[in-house]
Amino acid sequence: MNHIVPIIKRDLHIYFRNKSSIFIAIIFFLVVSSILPIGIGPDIKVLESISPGLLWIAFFLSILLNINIVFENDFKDGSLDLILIESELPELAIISKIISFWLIVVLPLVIFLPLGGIILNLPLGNIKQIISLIIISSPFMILVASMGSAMALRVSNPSLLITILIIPFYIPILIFGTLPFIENDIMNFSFSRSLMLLTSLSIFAIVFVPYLLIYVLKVNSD
Amino acid sequence: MELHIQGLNFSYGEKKVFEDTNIDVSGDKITILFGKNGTGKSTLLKLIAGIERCDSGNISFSDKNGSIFSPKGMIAYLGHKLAIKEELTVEQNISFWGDFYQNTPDENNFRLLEMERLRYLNVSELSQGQKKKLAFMRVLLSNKPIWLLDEPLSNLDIESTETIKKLISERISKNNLVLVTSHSKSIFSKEQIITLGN
Repeated sequence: MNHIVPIIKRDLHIYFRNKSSIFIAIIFFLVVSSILPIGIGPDIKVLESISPGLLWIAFFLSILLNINIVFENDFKDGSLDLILIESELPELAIISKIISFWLIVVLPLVIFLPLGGIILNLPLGNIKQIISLIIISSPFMILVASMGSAMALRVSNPSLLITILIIPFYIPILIFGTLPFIENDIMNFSFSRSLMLLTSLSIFAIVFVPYLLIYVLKVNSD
Repeated sequence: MELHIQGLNFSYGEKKVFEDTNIDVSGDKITILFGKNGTGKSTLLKLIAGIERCDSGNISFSDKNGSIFSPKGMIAYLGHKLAIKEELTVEQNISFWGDFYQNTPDENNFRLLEMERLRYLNVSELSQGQKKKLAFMRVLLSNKPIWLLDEPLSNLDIESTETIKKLISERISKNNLVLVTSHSKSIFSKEQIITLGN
């Protein structure tokens, strides 16, 4: 428990000194949100029907583009080995790194989500609901993505590999996250049901993924 | 405190590094792992630290009564990667590890290792030797009873070498276990040599 605060404090310090990760994620998110409607054409109804999915996809990709920073720096300078072997509860140390990433990359993205929603012509009510769903599913998204990051530690340019590895795991989130906003949905999938399912996925990830992460990191470390 | 390695087998792919290796180390002297390049000195430290996993065999620790114990949370490891952040200052690095180990940095160590004037400099501005001293300060700060030091005296000037040798020697008198890899012998007054690669 005692390692959580020092690790978060140090990581935030390093991220703030090298702000590129924050800005790259935000700029990438806004660029993707802006380009996608152009490709769809002038039919506003088509855009309205697919814009919830587009917002989710823009958010996924912005996370996957940056997820390699979670362990990369610590792996390169040897801190990761020490955190794993010298912590009495390395799982908590790993969770601290996930919290740092959430604060430095996901939180700024969440702040820019309404702008992305407006660019994609989403109704204001839907934007609020999608933001709630994204926030609640973000622990699952980051933890699963960090598995990809841990597996690709030794790869020189890991972003593409991580994206290919992790995208299939995001399909359930995409389904649960967009169903409440689909017109003529035969399942009549409500927002609260989505919220419940995505919360369950996040809780499942918080409980189990840190153990898997420790295993993968130990196998992949020196 | 004693270290027992029994029937150790380890290989990197096809290359066998250790084959049915048995080593016993007692904590009353500083143990020097001696050998040529590629004989497995650093690998052995990583195996003991738990960074690498052996293919087969057993690595265990026992106390003075002969009882086996788990070394979890008791090992301080200094490897080739120094675990210091180039983006931060010397002070910030030490402060982080101090919080991590929940120990207060000893001001005396800054003075002994001539790091006082470098305190507020970014690590990226330090020489290799100064970085090594900073990494050694982390080991001191950890206050762990088992030290695994991979070439702790490389890149150091004569004065710093003597200071670190003295600090390591002081450790052994407090019933700790210290293993050091080196390319030379006769470094410490109380040392036992284990030659690898034979």
